Order: sequence, then structure tokens, then C-alpha cells
Amino acid sequence: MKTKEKEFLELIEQHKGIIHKISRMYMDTKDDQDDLAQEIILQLWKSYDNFRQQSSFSTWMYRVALNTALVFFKKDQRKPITTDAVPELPAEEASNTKELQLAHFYQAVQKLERLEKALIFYHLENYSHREIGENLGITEGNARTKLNRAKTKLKELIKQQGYGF
Amino acid sequence: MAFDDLQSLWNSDKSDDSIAIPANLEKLKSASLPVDNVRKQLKKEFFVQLVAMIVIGFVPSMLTFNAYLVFPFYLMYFIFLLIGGYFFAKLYLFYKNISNTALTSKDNLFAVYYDIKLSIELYKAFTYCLLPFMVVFMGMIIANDKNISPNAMLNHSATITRTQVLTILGLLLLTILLLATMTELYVNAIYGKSAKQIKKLLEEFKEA
Repeated sequence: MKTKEKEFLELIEQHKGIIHKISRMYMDTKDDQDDLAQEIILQLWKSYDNFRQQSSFSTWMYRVALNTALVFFKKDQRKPITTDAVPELPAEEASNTKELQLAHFYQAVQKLERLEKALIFYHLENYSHREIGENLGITEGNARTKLNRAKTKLKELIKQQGYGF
Repeated sequence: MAFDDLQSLWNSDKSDDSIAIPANLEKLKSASLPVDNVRKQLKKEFFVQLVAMIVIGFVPSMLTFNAYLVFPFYLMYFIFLLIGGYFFAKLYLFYKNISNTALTSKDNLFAVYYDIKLSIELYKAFTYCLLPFMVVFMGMIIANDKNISPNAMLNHSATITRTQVLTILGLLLLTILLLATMTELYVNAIYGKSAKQIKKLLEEFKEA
């Protein structure tokens, strides 16, 4: 294996949590999450030459991964997941409270619009409004307003699932 | 559950073992990105068109063209190939151009949107450019079939009525319009969906 490829795969291994979280936020079934994860890795690899160490690997990875997720459409339906259908929780996930809460969170997130998911993702990764705006290409004010709306919507969705705030 | 709880919940999500890191990156293939799909589809169609263009070159020998039609046919065919070649070169360059996904999300979406639109327009332009040639080729095939000589054609034109000229022109126009409409409908049905999906997504980025 070439050095560059080896170095890339090591970095991916270190930061695979980002890919996992984004895939889970953007796709509802395991198969689709796997497809998206593979697509993200492919896009990261294809644009790896553009990564010039100007930012940290994770910052660059956030952008490429989210940009890929934003335009990734399911193979069969090729439409954003904004339907009312919520998949059932896998039994093993429901086995402990934390996993159950996480599953409820990801279920609720499925009903958000694609940009709202990106906003929530950056927010949970502790990005400031300015940084969110910079990464998404919108103004800081716009990022703040849209994020607040997305948070309110997410709270409502979780509440509807019986997990009130 | 409070939002702060959500934050700690998020931080505690370590279930990333499910991510399968491929052993060989060369084996990875793009699955569902709109630009990749449009490009793949276009590539397939251009191959079909390339085969069709080559087959057209054998028409005079297949239909045993009259000698006087062979030179004009191949002259037209040469120009036809030049135009076709220009579009194939454009498509190849476009296909090789890898978009920079590290742009801001909004810029990236604009880039994807215009890449798709550009593919669509390239395909349409290619079809429209070849349309007149197809009409001329058809005319030559008909002339060959009717065994009309240049002299006979001149004699015919001398006696042809205005109504006949208008009918021929009308039919020609109708054929071109029909083909153009079919191209538009086909292109929008096959490729337009991706452009619409991205455009809808871009709407979300507008100032709140």
C-alpha cells in the first residue's frame, strides 16, 4: 500500500466517529448509513490532495463529509429523508438508557431538513455561530437564526417521541 | 432530556465500530452523488452516440449510394465528426474535472448544481448541433432511394409548386420541433431531477 494511502486510512481510523455521526444523522437505515459512510470516505480520498494542512484534518473532514452527506440521495428513492416514517429501534440499542436516548435523538433528527441537520451537527461539535456560518457559507446571523429554529424543531420532535425537554 | 443532556449524549456516542474502513481505496465506487450519476449516465449515452456516429459512416456502402451523393455525404459526415469530436472532448474534460468538495457547503452546492446544469446543456447542445446533419442525411437517403439524379432534382425544382415547398418545409420544421421537444422532455426526465433536488436544497440556505 502506498504511503499516502496508508497515512490517509490512519487518519480516517482516528476520526471515524465523525463519519459515523454524520451517516447516522443523514440516513435512517443501516444499509444507507454504510453506503453514505463509504461515499464520504471515497470523497475524502478523492479530495485528499486538496488538503494542504491549512486547517486541521478534522476541520477539513467535517466540510467534505457534510458536503457529501448534503447531496447524497438514497439509491432506491433518491429523496431526502423527511418522511413521517420512523424506523423501530433495534433491540440491542434499547438495552441501556443512553443508547435509547441516542436512538431517539437520531430518530428525531431524521425528520429535520438537510441544512438543519448540518447546523445541529456543527452545534453539537461545539462550533460557534461564526464558524458554522463560515463552514456552511452563510452569514453568522443567518446561522444563529436557523440554528435556533432547528433546535426548537428538534426539541419538539423529541417531545413527540415521549422524550420531553 | 435537556439540550445540555443532548450535548453530553452526543459526546458519549462512541459507537463508531460499525464504520468499515476499506482495506483498498481503489475498490471504492461512488454510489449516489447526483453529479457522479449524471456523469455516468452521460458517459453511457455518449458511447451510444459514438457508435451511432461510426455506423452512419457506413451508410453509403450499406445503401449503395449513387456516386454523385457519396462526396457530399462524406463532406457533411466530416463536419459532423468534427462537431461530434468537439463535444466528446468537452465531455472528457468535464468528466476528468473533480469538484472540490472542501468548499463551503453553499458554494459546493452551487458548484454541484452548475455542474449538473452544464452537463444537461452540453448534452442538449450536442443533440441540437447534430440534428440538421441528421435531416440532411435523411434527405440524402431518400434522394438515393428515389434514384433522383442532380438533373432530375433541378427539373423537379422547376416544376415544384409553392404548396409542395411549404409542405416540405412544414414537415421539416415539425420534425425538428418534435425531436427538440423529445430531447427536452427526455433530458429533464433523466437529469432534471438531480438539479431540482439540489436547487431545493439551496433554497434552505437563503437568508432567514
